[in-house]
Amino acid sequence: MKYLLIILLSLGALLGQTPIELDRTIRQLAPDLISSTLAILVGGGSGSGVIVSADGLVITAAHVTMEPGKQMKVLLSDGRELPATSLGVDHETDGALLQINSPGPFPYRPYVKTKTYSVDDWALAVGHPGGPIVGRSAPLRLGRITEAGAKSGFADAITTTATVISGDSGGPLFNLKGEVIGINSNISSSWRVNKHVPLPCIVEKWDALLAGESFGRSLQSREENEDPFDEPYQSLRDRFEEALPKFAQEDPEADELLKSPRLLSPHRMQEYLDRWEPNPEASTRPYYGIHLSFTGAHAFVADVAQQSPAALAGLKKGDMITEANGIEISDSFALARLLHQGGTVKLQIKNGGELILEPSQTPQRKHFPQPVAGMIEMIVTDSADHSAGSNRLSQKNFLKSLTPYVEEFEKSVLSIKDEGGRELALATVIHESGQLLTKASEINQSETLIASFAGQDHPVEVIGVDEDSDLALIRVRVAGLIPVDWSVDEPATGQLVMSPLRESLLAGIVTQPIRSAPKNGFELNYSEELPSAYLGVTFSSEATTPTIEMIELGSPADRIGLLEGDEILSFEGSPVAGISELVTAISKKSIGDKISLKIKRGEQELTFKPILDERPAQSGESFDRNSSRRDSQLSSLSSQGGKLSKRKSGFPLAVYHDQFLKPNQAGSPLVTLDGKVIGINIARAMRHRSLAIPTLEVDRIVEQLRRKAARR
Amino acid sequence: MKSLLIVIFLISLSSGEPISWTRNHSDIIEQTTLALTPKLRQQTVIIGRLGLAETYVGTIIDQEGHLIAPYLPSPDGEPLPYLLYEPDGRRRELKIIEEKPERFLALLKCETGFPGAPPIQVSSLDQHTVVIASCAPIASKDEEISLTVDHLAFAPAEQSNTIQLELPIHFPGSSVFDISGHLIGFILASEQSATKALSLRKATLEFPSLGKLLPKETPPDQPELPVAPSLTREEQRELYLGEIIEARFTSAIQSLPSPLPCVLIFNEGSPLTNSIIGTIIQPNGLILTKASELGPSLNVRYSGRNYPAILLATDERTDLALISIEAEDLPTISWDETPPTPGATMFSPILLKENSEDMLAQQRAYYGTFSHLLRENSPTLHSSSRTTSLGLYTEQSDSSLTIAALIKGSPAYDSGLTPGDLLLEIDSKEISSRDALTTILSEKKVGDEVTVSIRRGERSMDFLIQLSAPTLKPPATGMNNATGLSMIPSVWRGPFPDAFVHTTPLNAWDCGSPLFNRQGQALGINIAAVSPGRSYTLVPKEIKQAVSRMLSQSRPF
Repeated sequence: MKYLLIILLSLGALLGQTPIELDRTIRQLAPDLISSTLAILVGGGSGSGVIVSADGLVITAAHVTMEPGKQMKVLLSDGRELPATSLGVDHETDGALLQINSPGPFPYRPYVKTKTYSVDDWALAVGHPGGPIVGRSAPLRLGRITEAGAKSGFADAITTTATVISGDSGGPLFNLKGEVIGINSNISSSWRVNKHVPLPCIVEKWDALLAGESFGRSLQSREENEDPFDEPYQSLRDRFEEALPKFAQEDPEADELLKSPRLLSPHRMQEYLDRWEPNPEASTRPYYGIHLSFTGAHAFVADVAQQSPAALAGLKKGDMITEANGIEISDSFALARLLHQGGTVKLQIKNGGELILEPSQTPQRKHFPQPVAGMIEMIVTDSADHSAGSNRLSQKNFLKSLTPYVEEFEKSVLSIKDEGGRELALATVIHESGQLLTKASEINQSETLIASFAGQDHPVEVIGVDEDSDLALIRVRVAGLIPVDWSVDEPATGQLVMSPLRESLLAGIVTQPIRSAPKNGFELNYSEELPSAYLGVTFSSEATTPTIEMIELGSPADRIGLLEGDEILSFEGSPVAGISELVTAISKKSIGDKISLKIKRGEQELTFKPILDERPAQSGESFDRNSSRRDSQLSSLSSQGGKLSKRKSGFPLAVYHDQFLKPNQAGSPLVTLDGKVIGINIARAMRHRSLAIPTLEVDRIVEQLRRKAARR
Repeated sequence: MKSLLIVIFLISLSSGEPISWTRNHSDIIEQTTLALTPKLRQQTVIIGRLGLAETYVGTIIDQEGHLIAPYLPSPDGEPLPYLLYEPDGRRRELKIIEEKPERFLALLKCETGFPGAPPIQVSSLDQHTVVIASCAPIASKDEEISLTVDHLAFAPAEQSNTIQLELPIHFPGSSVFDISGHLIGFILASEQSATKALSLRKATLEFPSLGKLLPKETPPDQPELPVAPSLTREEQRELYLGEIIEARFTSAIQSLPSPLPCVLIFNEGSPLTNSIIGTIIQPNGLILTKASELGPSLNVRYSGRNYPAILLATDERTDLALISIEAEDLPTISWDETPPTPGATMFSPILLKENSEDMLAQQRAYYGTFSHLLRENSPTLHSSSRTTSLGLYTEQSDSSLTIAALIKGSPAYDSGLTPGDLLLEIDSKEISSRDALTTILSEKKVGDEVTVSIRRGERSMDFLIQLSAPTLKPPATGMNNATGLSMIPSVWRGPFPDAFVHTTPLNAWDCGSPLFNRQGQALGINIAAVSPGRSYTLVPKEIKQAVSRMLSQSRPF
């Protein structure tokens, strides 16, 4: 392994940043980057932000805070939940400031004031993808700058390959000095296009933003407490319904609407509101008041709007226009195009004179996308993938510096194919006798499995499958395999990790500490709600009276000596009507309350007075509909940019990393710079997440599978 | 466990070469769905819950009136009754036998029974089970039930607790049937790429009261459906499964015309995912699309080129918009005006916004089946045709009418009426039935005041209430009851004029596209993505009328 390090060091000298230096830098920075990143809880959604001063000034995205002067909450990395007020927002660039309303000092990071970054630089994105999750720190993601914009998060953004997703909005993008250079803003569906608001454009408006000024109009519709599916635009509807009776007297249309059952599209409601309560700030388009007809071979006026510039100039319904601005007009399409551009227009009317029209302004049509619930939606823009061109070379060079690893693992990683030669997964050699590990749910697509080694095909025998981890232990009878070296060290957040893939290699970092990867819907978001009081019992659903079916270990019920099978007769002195009444009554109590329960145990009647606890964090334990919806949303967004593994969650323990792993590359080893394996890649789970089963877990599973196989 | 999985994928993926989509194969699939649709419609009813706008599909268990349906949480926690919606628009209250919220199931009973219903048949899963049809999850109160044809399902023989379905189009608690129309399980959870269902065996273990009602398993014999009877069951299964994957990923394209008369329309300057599809109707760049998805300025992409576009006109009745780009010799659509038969296969093109390498190259068309026609206006609205409303839900007992729930913010709600109040009189006329209530309200106008007399406990009380127009809501998506978000519905989902319902799984951004039949002719334009596996398409006749309206008068320039 030593020669590897030497090669790395020498190559690194040529390239500026060696893998070893990169690994060390990120690992050292990681704790500070994470502690300065916070979650912003606003109106049922959540975004991210970064603290940039000891007294709690936060930079975030405009589409997170939406408007100045709004009260919201922030959740710090140490678990503190504090009130905050939004300062200025700039919807043109998507930059915004926020002030934590609590005395500091807070952990903060410096930020760049000018464009000190360029294409190919490494960058680290931090935030809370999917919103803050109970028991998870903000994951770190590594990428390269592919476009070094400076003016806006939209048109001239910093674009990176550091994968961000909904919930990351407003979170920081750091350079390798740990300075904030950008703010997570929007993504293209392609995983390699992640856009960040460049800090220089926020700094440019710094004083105005500090003073709480607002620039531009929000492009994204996010209404608080709105039901995004069944009642989109409830607040627009409310505004419309409120205005309707007020204008019923002066506008006959309003009167007509008021008297009948009504269901109007958002556009129509907006049109009425524009008419009744004109908003001087609304964006406008040029308006002449000409309705065209496209039915004839010439340009005809179908109608002229009352009091419009066209009407005032004397244009009439039925007029045929032959020339505009001195150009011959062949049909209404051509005229429509001309009028669409605005400006003074000189019209030649057949059998009539010439009219000069000066347009007035009318409110611009608005766009009404479907609002989305839960976490603050990552804006998805559509732009070409620029990662292809410019940074390929440096990326290639960097990966080239890692090629020794590919060679190192040549005899330790095999490709598993079906009989047609399609690659299903990779497999990692764990014993020279030909035992390998791979991903069960990828290889069970085929009955006949083939492993290629040294240019030859060999049959594969499945020894056993572990359902929880989705690992399959297989055997390939071939000489010359080299088992991998294992490391049981816990991977550090920010640690550089690689996946040797036979001919190529992936590189990335560990994004967060090892934790479980719960199934869809089983990972709870941090909630602003107070934790509910907790006794720790479940009741049998078959019994008609509340009979304790199960007592949770260590719960108040357990500690005071309630037993399974106890039947609860009364609560707080009054008889218990049924299970649901009892559960409701308990849930109305607060944490720390002492309650009184009279129970029947066999022939005995006993009274217990347990003190209610805080309900323990439920991460990974219970199913939640909102979480399920969030996970589906993230996975839906993720899958627009590439293929995810079929089985991608529900692993008891996983190393989280950010490599662009393909589903058929699962089964490959996850390797640290010293060439040791810290886990077996098991899934591409999300846009921002790949998973590996950690070594200790692998060890346990292999042991189990071997024992099972031996018994058989 | 392996054996089954294997066969399936071998068929489709072994050589990497696409299997040819023969007319014969698609005929068989279509015949099956055509035959199953009426059969399963007899077995199913539309249910809802008082105070809930959305309705779901329940499955009749026996003629005594038992039915199994999705569990619906009661709004505001009030124990409101489940309702059965009859085809004639009447509703009946259903008795709750047992609810199983953790499995999203409710066992209900209709006191009047289902005298004409066919007895339910059940099957257990084995390696050979092919799920070809299951119930669409959501329906409107006075519509026919649409059936989702959801082809792929299998379960390992030794642990058949769950079934995997490959389309994300279901709601928890919906029934799943096999190709013979036998009940085999219930939907558990839906995800973006897959749906999990609880097998009937497991469901009856966990839900003994349901188990008692169901008949013995019908042995899985040859399906009685016109599915190539000369083949063995094994061969049929392979045929289906091979066919299915193929149809989903590759062959659908062959039913699309080439070049495709479609464009992508971007709302320029807006950073959201808000592209939509447009259908080219004239070679000179006249394009139809869905009006309510359009923003201020538009950009069209066709065949790799970008064109600035202008909005010429919108049509309120159909929600169509006419836009124009400067182009020549574009391919145009050809229409098929014959109404499709329930169960007929149809395709909707997917236009990729980016040419990402990772994208599945084959993923170019969705497909689904025709369900039924929507009648103009009424069916998409969950409201009556009355023009006045008090804003309350009632519960009918023998000779009296009790307030069951109130619509928040309605006049009745604001006046202080509460659930449980017994209605006595309105304007001194006795009210003891829903009919009486409907009659008196139909005689009033919006703004009229009525005196509502009620009894609350021992006390009689009078309330003076000003009538309002009933609150209409956009058609429910049912997504609020769903566990997973598998699609994004259109912002504007109607009411629409002549349109039909099909099961092609569209998202908001897939609308504006033509819906093709197997000959590549357009059956209409997709106008709304309503809920998972439930989409609306405007018929050609309506489209042509809308186009001529828009051509004769543009929006004001």
